[in-house]
Amino acid sequence: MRSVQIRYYAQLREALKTSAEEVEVETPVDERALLERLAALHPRQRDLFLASRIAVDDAYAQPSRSWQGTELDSGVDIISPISGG
Amino acid sequence: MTGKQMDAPLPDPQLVGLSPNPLDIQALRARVADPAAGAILVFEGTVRNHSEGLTGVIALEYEAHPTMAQRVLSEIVAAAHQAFPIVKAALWHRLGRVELGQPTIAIAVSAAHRDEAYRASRYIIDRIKHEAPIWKREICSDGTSGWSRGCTAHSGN
Repeated sequence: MRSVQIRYYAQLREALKTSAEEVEVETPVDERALLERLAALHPRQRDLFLASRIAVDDAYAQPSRSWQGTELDSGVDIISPISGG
Repeated sequence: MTGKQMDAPLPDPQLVGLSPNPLDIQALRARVADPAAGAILVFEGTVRNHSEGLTGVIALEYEAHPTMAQRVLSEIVAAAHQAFPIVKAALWHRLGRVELGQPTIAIAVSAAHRDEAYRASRYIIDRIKHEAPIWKREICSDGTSGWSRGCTAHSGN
């Protein structure tokens, strides 16, 4: 288990009423597992989490990538469905 | 002009940016003007009065990831330079509230010929729709507002 800072934006931040939280995560963890963990913590936002992507160090995670732990020290951004342009 | 465009690195920040202020389309156009260009194409995305299942939209409110959005936009413009023989490309995206009819994004591309400019401009806006960590809230005339459901609901512009 490892404590990871999770940061939220836009609709997820408003729905959760917080822009960041510390979450205990089992490592190694990949994008899908992390989103499932967050969806389990916040079941009312499950659909939004499962439609989201994650970003580490300002780059989208590759779905096949998994992290052991220290790479997540800078935290994880949850990129809920985007609508720019 | 400070924006000497190179092949591989990310573009000059003045060519790619997010701004809380109204977009100056003529200023953006000037950043891509070049003696080698036979075409300059400026695309504007604007606030329209309806959306998926919504009418009476009077404004949009944009939020972007504070650091990643600039990086993604810059990478997309750099990739356009790799993919198409264009001369220069620049784009600005709004943050904050944008009123009906006003531009939310402007993309300027210069190229020797029009075809490359059209293709590169389309490439840039399509990738932004799918990749840029930017969110918009739709504000309606009845006082309600909500986050847009995402780019899949916005095919075409």
